[in-house]
Amino acid sequence: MANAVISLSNMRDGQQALVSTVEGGRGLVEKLTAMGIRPGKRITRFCSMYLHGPITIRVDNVQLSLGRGIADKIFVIPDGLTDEDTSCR
Amino acid sequence: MKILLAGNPGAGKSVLFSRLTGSLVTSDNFPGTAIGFSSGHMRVANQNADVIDTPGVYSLGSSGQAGEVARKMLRDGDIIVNVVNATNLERDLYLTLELLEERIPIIVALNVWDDARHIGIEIDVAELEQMLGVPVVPTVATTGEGIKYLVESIPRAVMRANPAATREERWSRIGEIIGQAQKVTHRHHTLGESLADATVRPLPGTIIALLIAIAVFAFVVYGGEAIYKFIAQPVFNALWLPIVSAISNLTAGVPFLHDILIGRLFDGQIDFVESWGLLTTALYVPFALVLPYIITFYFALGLLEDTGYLPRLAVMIDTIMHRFGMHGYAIIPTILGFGCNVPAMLATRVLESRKERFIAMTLIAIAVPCASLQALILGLVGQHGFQYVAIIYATLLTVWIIIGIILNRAVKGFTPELLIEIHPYRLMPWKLMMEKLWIRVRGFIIEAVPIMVIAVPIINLLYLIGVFQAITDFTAPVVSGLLGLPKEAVAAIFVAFFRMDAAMALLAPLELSAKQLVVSSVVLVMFFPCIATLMIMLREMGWKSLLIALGIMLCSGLAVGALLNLLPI
Repeated sequence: MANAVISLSNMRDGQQALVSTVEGGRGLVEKLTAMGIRPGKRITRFCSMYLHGPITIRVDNVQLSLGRGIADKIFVIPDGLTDEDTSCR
Repeated sequence: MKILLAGNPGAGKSVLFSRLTGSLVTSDNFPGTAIGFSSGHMRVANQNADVIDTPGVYSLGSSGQAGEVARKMLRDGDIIVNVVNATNLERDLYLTLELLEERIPIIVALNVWDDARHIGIEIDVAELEQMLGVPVVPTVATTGEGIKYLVESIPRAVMRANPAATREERWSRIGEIIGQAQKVTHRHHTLGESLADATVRPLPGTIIALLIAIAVFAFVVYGGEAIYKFIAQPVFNALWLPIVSAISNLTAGVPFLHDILIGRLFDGQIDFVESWGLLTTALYVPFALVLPYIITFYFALGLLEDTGYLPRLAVMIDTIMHRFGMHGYAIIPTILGFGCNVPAMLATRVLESRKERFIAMTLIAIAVPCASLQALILGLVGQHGFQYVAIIYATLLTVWIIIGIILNRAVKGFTPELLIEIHPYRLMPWKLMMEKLWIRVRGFIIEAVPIMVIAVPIINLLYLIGVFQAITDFTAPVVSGLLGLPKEAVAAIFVAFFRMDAAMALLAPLELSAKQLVVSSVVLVMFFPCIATLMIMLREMGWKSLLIALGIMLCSGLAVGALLNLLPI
């Protein structure tokens, strides 16, 4: 399971993963790349709001919040690591 | 010489700008609003230079208004100071590499240098300088550290004009630079960071958001009241009253002049709210009644903006805002609207879709009272008991929710998803916060006082020649029949077009009951925007959308007013 590709929406809070692909329009891909989400980057899913609210993630020292529709388009490969400091409790 | 500041959102450009120029711009802590750029002056190597703060962008290729503005501005600069956030070196260098391809001298300000060290990031400045081929100066804009050296180094800026590279080439070059010039040591979360994290976690975040909302409301209301009671009112009564009383006596023989300058007397006494003269009401309403709340509101708003809390609020409230066809970011213009609707309308520009902007603007115009109007509501309605003020706010919140849900269904178009960066909390220097507050307070005085000074005598004149009496009889069926107000209250609705606070003040002499005050307050908020808001809405949404928005306001304002009149309040 550790190496399967899943979408960011399907990650657990606190879980870490490497970005695999972003499947969206060119505008979205460019915006996400410029904000720090590009293939090969390690991201940590930090927290998510109730009722399908935005997901907050960490890339390096950057914290980004994105809606589920965008999270659905970001595909990642979890590598079995979790960050105890950044779980959502 | 023209010096441009360029950098990613949150790199600290605007604070650096005020450090370099010594003057302050309203630099809001969320991306997008810097689109109207600021410019100032500084001295470099004994020469005068213009400094221009460009909008924060992640890349020169960025689509959208900010990217366009940034690209345009770069073309006519002489030197670029590229502000790079040292805690996000890798990402921020992308823009740096793009800038290095332009034919313009560049110097890098490696900002937020102190935080980078605290979180275990070590940057070899000499190595970075070597690899980029331009000077790099570590700075801490918020404390002023390194600014002097940056200014001295500006003449050393170097033009690289590197050959144009592809995206992949730039990222691989950044990989090399980071590998050589940056060392990161792992370290655990500090207590402060854990507290900061709590504000985006669902449960603690929601509780904190509610507590902040209550604290802000209490501070604005009670702080404003305290300034009014202990400063504004005593100053007017002790210092100004003797002067205007003397003028009143002097002009007693010239009734027309007395009516214009002083207004009506009550038992031979001046009443600052009800006399309605140029030297009485026209000055007392803006300076004594409204100004205290303007000060407390913008102080609280400045704190929320500068610490960086607002984007977190946008995340917390995103799910709710989607029910109204907007994403969470729309809460920020809405909050601005409680100060003044005009900047709020401009701030909706950060929202991406037409649908979202139309809904946000319409809801602000209908259900968000500006500080001037709120000050008078608190003053006039609050006398009858706080529960009546609560009824007004509860009604407006309900209206906001219901119209929001309807508009979400009725307006065609799409609602984009939220995508924002949450910058770390930071403390702004007090001096900068106070300057920003002063700029906003001054803005209120410059805009509100002249309109009051012009409007008060005109309204007075219209009364004297009987214009309002004519309108009064014509509109009586609606005003009295439907809303249950004395027919003279229609004058307030007209005046609200110019100044909302003046309109409320006009109600003061009518001796309205608490219920009538509730009805008239709600109608004034909902019915029609003031002329300044109307002009901005026209510019931002076009006349077709504006007519629809106005239709919604008139219908819902009348309906809610009539409904409140029927309820036993």
